[in-house]
Amino acid sequence: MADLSLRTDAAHGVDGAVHEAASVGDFVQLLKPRVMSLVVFSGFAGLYVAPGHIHPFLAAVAVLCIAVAAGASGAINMWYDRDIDAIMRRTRNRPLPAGRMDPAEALGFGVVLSLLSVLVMALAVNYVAATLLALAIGFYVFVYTVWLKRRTPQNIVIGGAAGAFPPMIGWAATTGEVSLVSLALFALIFMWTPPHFWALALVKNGDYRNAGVPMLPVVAGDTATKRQMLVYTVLLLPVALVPCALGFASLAYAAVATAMSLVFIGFSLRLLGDAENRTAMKMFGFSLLYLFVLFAALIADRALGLA
Amino acid sequence: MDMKQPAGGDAPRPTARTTTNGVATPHVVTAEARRRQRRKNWALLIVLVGLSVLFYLITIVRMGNHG
Repeated sequence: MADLSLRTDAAHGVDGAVHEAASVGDFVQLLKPRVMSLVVFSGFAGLYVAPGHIHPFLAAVAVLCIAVAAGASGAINMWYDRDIDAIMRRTRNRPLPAGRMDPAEALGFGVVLSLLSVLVMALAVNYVAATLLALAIGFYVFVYTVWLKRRTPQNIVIGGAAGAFPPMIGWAATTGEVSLVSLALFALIFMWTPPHFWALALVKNGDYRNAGVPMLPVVAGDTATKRQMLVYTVLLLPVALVPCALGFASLAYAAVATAMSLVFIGFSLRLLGDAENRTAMKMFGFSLLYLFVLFAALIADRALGLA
Repeated sequence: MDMKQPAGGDAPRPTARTTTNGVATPHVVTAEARRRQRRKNWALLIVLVGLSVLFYLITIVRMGNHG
């Protein structure tokens, strides 16, 4: 019950007041628009590179559904995590911990958008894509947010699967199926997620410790985290080359993927010898670039007919 | 305290709010809150119209695909 009382307090905002007039901007903020951009791009990449044809308008609807579902999951996540968001400096100005929005309003917003995105995907595109979309939302909300996030330092390793769904959903939107290549794209984001998130967690370590979130740097310390980041970045290199092994991507993609993966490994090695964690934010920034460049290379492969 | 709302203007409007123990307390709706509510209403209208257009276009495109 102690947890419940903490939640109720946090729902009233850090200043203890209830502000009932949330603005349109607050609802937009609830959708985590910055996180959405990478989700949308990877979803579009999966849709574009998949063999087959989809009507351009339905392709746009599929991407819109992926974006809305990602935002809706983010809104439900913010509703559930409003107590710890109020403690962390990075998140305390979000609409719920800042007391600019009623928690029930945020939950309703997230649930309605989730249902709507799956429904539209099913009606406009196909049932496979809609099922995968529903799985991604469910995984993010129930497996990551509710079950893993506050219980294990492996939270973002397993929970990272939720963020790996978009290219598979995009692929299914075009082909109506799940294939080995779409699983390879899933694996790429799955292996990329731990070093990406832990780079940020190293910098925001104090925030997570204060909030009681067992991120790996909080539980195992910086050095153990950096070693695991190195392991994941090394494993990421062969995973990034799987599309080539499956005959789906060209040698040009292989060259780009190898170069980017080697730089990523280089960042991990530099971070391992960096006691002040000055490299962490640079590595976090590079990790975003890494994924954008690899998916852009796959899109270019398909557009130029190289594969 | 007069609980009636004024007919118009930007002056704060006192309204009644019932607390959990059933006691009605005065609650002032400020001009800023009303502006925000108006913006939300417009946003909701745009979303609903957009959704209607979206469903219409989806129907047209899907019927075209199977026609």
